[in-house]
Amino acid sequence: MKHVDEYRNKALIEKLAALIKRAASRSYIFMEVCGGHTAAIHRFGIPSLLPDNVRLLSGPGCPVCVTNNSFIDKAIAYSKMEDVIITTFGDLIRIPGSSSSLEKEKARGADIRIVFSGLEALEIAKSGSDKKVIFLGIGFETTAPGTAVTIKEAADVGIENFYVLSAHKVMPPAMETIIKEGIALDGFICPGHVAAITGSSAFSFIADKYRLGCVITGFEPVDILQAIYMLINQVNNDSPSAEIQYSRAVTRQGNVIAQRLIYEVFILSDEQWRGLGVIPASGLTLRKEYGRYDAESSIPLPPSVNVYEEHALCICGEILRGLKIPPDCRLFAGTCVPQNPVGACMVSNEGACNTYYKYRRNE
Amino acid sequence: MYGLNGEVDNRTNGVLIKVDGDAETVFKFRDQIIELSPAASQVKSVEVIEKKVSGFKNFRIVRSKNDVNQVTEISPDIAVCADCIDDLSYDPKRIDYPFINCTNCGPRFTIIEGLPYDRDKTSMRKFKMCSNCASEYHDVIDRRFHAQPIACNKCGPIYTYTDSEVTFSGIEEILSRISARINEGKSVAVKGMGGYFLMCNALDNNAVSELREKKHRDSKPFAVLFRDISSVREYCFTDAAEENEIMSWRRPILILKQKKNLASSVNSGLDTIGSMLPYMPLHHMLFKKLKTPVVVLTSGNFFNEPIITDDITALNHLMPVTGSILSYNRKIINRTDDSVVRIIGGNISLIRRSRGYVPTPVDLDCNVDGTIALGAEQKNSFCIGRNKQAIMSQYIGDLKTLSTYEFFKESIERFHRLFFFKPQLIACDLHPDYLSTAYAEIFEKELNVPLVKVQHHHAHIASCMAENRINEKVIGISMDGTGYGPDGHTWGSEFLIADLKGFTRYTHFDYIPMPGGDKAVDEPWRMALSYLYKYFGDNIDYEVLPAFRSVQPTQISLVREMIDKGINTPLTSGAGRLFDAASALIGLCPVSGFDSEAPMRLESAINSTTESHYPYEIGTTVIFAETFKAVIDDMRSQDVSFISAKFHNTVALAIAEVSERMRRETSINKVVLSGGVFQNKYLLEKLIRILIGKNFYIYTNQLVPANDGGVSLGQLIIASKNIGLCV
Amino acid sequence: MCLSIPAKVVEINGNIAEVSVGGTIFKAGLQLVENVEIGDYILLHTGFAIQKVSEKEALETLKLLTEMENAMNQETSDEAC
Repeated sequence: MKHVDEYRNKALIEKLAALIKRAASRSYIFMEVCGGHTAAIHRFGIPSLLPDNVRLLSGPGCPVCVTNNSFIDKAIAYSKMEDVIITTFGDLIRIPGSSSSLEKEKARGADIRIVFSGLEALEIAKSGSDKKVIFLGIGFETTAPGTAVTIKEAADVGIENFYVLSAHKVMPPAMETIIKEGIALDGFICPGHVAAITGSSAFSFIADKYRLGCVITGFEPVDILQAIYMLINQVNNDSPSAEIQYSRAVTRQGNVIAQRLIYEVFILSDEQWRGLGVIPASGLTLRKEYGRYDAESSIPLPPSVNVYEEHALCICGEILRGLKIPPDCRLFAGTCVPQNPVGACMVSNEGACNTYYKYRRNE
Repeated sequence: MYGLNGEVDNRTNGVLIKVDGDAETVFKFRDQIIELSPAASQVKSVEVIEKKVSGFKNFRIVRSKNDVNQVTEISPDIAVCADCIDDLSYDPKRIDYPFINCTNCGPRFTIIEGLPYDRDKTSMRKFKMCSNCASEYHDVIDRRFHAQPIACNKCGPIYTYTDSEVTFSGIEEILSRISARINEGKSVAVKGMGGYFLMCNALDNNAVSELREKKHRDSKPFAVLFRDISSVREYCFTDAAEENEIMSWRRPILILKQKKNLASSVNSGLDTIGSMLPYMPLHHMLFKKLKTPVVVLTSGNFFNEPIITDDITALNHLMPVTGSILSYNRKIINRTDDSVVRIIGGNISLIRRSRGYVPTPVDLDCNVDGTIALGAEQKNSFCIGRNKQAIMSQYIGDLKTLSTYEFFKESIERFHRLFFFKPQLIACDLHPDYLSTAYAEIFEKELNVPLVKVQHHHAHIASCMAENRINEKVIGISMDGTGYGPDGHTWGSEFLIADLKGFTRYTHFDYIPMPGGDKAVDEPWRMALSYLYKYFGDNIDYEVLPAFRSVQPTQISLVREMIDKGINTPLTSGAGRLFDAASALIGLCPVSGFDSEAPMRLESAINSTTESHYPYEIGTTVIFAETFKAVIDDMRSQDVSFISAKFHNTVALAIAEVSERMRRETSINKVVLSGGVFQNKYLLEKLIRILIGKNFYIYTNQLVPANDGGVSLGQLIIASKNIGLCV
Repeated sequence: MCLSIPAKVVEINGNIAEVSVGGTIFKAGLQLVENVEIGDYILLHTGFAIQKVSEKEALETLKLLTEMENAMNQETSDEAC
């Protein structure tokens, strides 16, 4: 497949691994903040190609993992309403809320449907049903523009029964929070598809303000290895900057159309991230002008007391901050497994725990 | 549903469906085949080919052409389904018919005499279908269409119950009498699916201990049958994977963590319960009348003998034990024990592979046709190769007694007939004294075909490789109690660099003397003494150690003398012996009441989440001297639960460290774990966590046992590979 | 979900394009990109084209990597002497 196979070239991979080995003159710790990167890194066995002194950490890059329980609880509460259809991306369906999950509710008869796009959810609303269709909007800057397009289309065509429950977030503030926590880091493998939208300029603060390495990276093994090589050079030469490895998809200014759409439909708000606490100006909430499409403002929920008890030994929060890796967790690969997940990091395909579990080869 | 016309042809190599419709509908139809397939079926693949079809006016089933040269697959026995249970109350012809079954459930392997699968080739042969059953049998839409064991109250088998001198028939009366007996605290012998079982109230300690005594049973835990899943949840902790397995159509015994006490004699202080859910109609019907939600259901046999299947034998041997016996007039053709499963790290670990699993083949990547592997000694199973599949036998048992050997031979002959098997190659263990080896050598002479002898631990690793379709060099770690070592010693903690052809031994746990040979297995205190004596000699005051409190001082000095003089003290590197020693040392199990009791008690004692560990040494071998020293220190102030956890952590870390060294030297990143010691849930889950933390790829046995019950699969593939059959 | 895949545009109908990923056809909304033509490659994410894949940049990257590889080969062969 074009634009994929070239970046899986074995010879190139080996050469890059050798280059890295040669250039790595001290120890380095780089963090990636994108679920796609977590999965790619372990799927292609990148850690085994790196010398011992180059370590990779996984950060809060899985949008599903960093979404708080209250979001799932709200979605579940909506799904129990007779006249509501919940439309969601597949990743959310098994995530545990305080006491249940969308999958469990679906089994109990709630109208919950998996969609691949916001537009698909809109089609369901258009299809003449008098039910309220609520779309669960989660994802970072890569996904938010799609939701924005969908909302604008709903407005243009005059759809009355379409709503969005937004948990969209933006990535740079979370990265800044991680840096400020003081975790030992030398640089970031920056999310390539978020940057396709935001442009590399959104990440310059990492280099300019904090003098940490910063490379916008693609998702194939050659991309990742090249980026690590570039990061090592940035550190060795003490020349941090928001460099673009993924130049076939990312530019300095990014996708301006998408950016305009995001800021037309959404406004930045303070948002709770699982494991990171409240991060100012990190969430995307619908603007007043589009308020009628906001599920929470338009469809009141009964007040509920959320008694949330995370399993005492679940360290999903620390894993999301890169403080621990899944094997550090006492529950990992024992009590907490994909068939029987305790925390979000094990449920989501992009979660660190789910990714690490794949080292256990099953039928 | 879709208004499609066409036809279905049930062939021996698959099902050919010709359907006339547009692409979209046909694809929806295809998806539904997979989605709506019965629980016990396994749709391997559905291929859609576009072709011109015509002339279909309806949907019909083509008469099957009987192709005798093609062997069809035999299904494992399937637990009675929910629809049939409903029928017990609502189907007028089958109200309370206790042998009810349909196309989706019922006995299969246990009643099959030959192929192709047909009523005439099963023990239902002597029960001629009445006209009602015959019409259902031929009705395409009926759930009993072509259900070979179909029958009803008019024409099917019947139960009879004998209590002292009197025999009863009539299911209502029988159920009342049995339930009364169990409610009173007495026991009953019951003819089950694969053999006879003994049943009593699992909450009544008098009943259970009496049964145990009469059965001359050691203290090995009894399996129990619960009324339903909510009763299971009342007495045991369960997670999603465990519930899935215990409720599956295979209905194995699940090893679950105990929540609430059953009668103490059921599991003698261990923290696990072997739990099962009903799988025969009789179970369901009986629980309706029983007061207790849980009964002991243990195999009707005596120590190390195969489970009884013959009615006369049962009458003679089991009646004296229980005083009452429930039987029925259909023969059990293939003796089959209940299977035992443990969920480790979300995955299946098969401890005993039998009812519900046998004879589902294991799909392999290469040709093993004509190979027969005879297995090992303990928990024996054998295995035959058919094209690219390995067909494992049911659990035979410890191949140490004459009756078990007879069962072994009989089963081999049966499999020859059932699967039209013609042996071209024989494989067996290296051990010169195993009965399976003796049989292999006789077989070799009689048939004049090549015999390949396979090292025990290599076979363990290969069984896991075969399951996971690995055909390259791996880091193979095989941990068990015993296996013949080519150097003449007993192996059991082997770190091998192995492929399917051969292996090199990288390292192992230190060799330790086994004073008294097999006696050291039965009396773990001997191993504790041996470890300490080897590393600390006279610097320990053995007599004051709590571990040896129950041992005579004369015995202690005798054992020391044996070790000094090398009298009857073979050397072992068996990991099982290491765990025995630790268990005895901290006072949990100086003398074993049943196989693996010492390590089971050691694991059972853990109730701590500590991550700490003891020191150990990796030299030319792995040495636990410092470990034992530290354990003795800890014994002064720490509790057994903590020490046990720490000990297990130590072993896991040592194994992981050796793996890292092996990877550094060989660049191999795949670790294959097999052997009976890895049935220890705490140890395996801990080890997997540590290995994943080091970015290893990890493989474990899930289709066949990690214990000696899986060795035959490894022997099969190694032999086939070496002879050039399997490329 | 972070997954965006390179897909080739095979048909355009107003704001919706049909794109091919290794032969399988998906629908992609074009509201976020401009000047897309048949034959272009786009990044497909949750039903939308989020960016065009720059052919020019792709070639540049591969060229750079190959040069690095050649430089390394040169060095090692120099060392071997």
